[in-house]
Amino acid sequence: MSSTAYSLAKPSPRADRLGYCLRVIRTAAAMEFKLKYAGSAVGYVWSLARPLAYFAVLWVVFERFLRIPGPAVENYPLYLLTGLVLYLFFIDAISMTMMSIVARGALLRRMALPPLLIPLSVSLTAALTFCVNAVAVVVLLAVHRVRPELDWLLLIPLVGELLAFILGIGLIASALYVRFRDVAQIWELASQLLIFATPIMYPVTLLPPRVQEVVFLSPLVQVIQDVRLLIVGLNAETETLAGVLGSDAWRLVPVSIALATLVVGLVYFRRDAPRLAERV
Amino acid sequence: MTSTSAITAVDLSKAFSIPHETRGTLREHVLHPLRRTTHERNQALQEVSFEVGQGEFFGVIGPNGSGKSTLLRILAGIYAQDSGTVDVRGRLSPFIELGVGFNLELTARDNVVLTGTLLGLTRQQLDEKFDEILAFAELERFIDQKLNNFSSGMLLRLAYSIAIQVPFDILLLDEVLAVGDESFQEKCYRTLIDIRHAGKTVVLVSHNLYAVARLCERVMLLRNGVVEALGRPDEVIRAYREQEGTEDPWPAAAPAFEETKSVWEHVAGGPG
Repeated sequence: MSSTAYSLAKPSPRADRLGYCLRVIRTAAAMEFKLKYAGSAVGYVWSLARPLAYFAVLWVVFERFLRIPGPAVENYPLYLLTGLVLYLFFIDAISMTMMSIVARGALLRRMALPPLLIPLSVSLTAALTFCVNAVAVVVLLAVHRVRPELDWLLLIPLVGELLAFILGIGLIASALYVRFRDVAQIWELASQLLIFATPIMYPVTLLPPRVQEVVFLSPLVQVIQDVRLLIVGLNAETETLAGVLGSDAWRLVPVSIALATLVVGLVYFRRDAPRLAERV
Repeated sequence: MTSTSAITAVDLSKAFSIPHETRGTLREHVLHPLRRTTHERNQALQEVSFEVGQGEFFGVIGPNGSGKSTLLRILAGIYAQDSGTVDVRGRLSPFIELGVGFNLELTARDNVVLTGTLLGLTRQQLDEKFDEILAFAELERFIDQKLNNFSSGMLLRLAYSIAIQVPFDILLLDEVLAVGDESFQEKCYRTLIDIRHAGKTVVLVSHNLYAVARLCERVMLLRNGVVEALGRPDEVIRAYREQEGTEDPWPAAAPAFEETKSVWEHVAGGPG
């Protein structure tokens, strides 16, 4: 039997506590973002380098040499870049979140800080980097003279869904990484395979129909295709979840997977949280 | 003292299990599934009970590995105890060491904001107290320099100046008087005495027996996770020195200790 009771002389209301958590998440995320490019001459531009380098190589190889997208994809550069930016957000955010607890073990052992704030602030930094990268997509949209439309507002819940999925996986991975350093290797391998397993550089119609049905249950694939449907323009019959699986109701499956992952992540992390400080 | 105690700890126990053969990776679990990892149970604390009165200056001493820091971390809510209860009445300081949250790659300005936020200050409070923090640390000229370029004394000054801005009723400190030059240490002592005068409770873990004797009203001696003595500083420290076979290296410092003793006399309550 054990318990720790803290009765506060000046009771601190819930709002105070929430305010504190939000301030810490925001400030730590901003500092982390600053730190990432501290001492580099062009700073944030570097975060654009990775998607643009991938983009250049894949564009040349697939469209110029292999001619794979063919007539299936109308605007291949935009199609490719949109997929890449979302894929890199997914991969980088999870990698950063996974390492976050171990990297800040010294802080956790010296301060009574709710451990949850650490992965949350780190994934916010990743989201900021994603916003910088999204500028590349905006530039390409402008080049192609694509006019913004009202239904682009749907991008917000779509990115939100992806963020929920990222946070869920990231929370589980960050707590697991404290005990098993293999998690980093597994994730590195998985992220390499994922770029091929996900229709990022090729059209989804290239996959066998059976495989398409399975692939669309992944929140990452569903979000990438829905974002493309909104801003790039796809053949809704063959290239979106509704078209492939026959009904819009199927969208509930990847959305539920994303939300369930977040819930499992939060529960798992909270269960481990009291022992994280002594384990790292 | 029960009605006015700030911290009540009853039968606190905490053990760490340290694997003999580190199985840090899954591969080791998979390749050697039958080899059982033997754990050494390190009983860091064993049924430790004590009370700290409100407004009391409480010292914890003991040899390395005696459980002092573990105890402080349990009180702060950083570690979870295996058994026993802790009852804390009042606002705890969230840190147990100075300089928590510092990032050497960031400037002093950014570090004040980051650390201040971590310790619970709002943006508005930080703006108001920013100049005061820097003035106390005597670091105004270095505000936009990275902490990389700071000496350890400068770091400590900055850390201390931020820490004293944080509102708290109970201050937990782990070995904070070890660094800094003499004039800054003197400043620290004076601030701690001010904190005591303001009616705040302080739990100080230190190897600096001189500081403990000078500041604390009661001292607890821990050894192998067990409370070995608890009482007046001079008695507990004498007992500790006898066990360790060491002597007061600075007997000449005793008058200063007597002097500060008198500081406590006129504080209401006095040594319990």
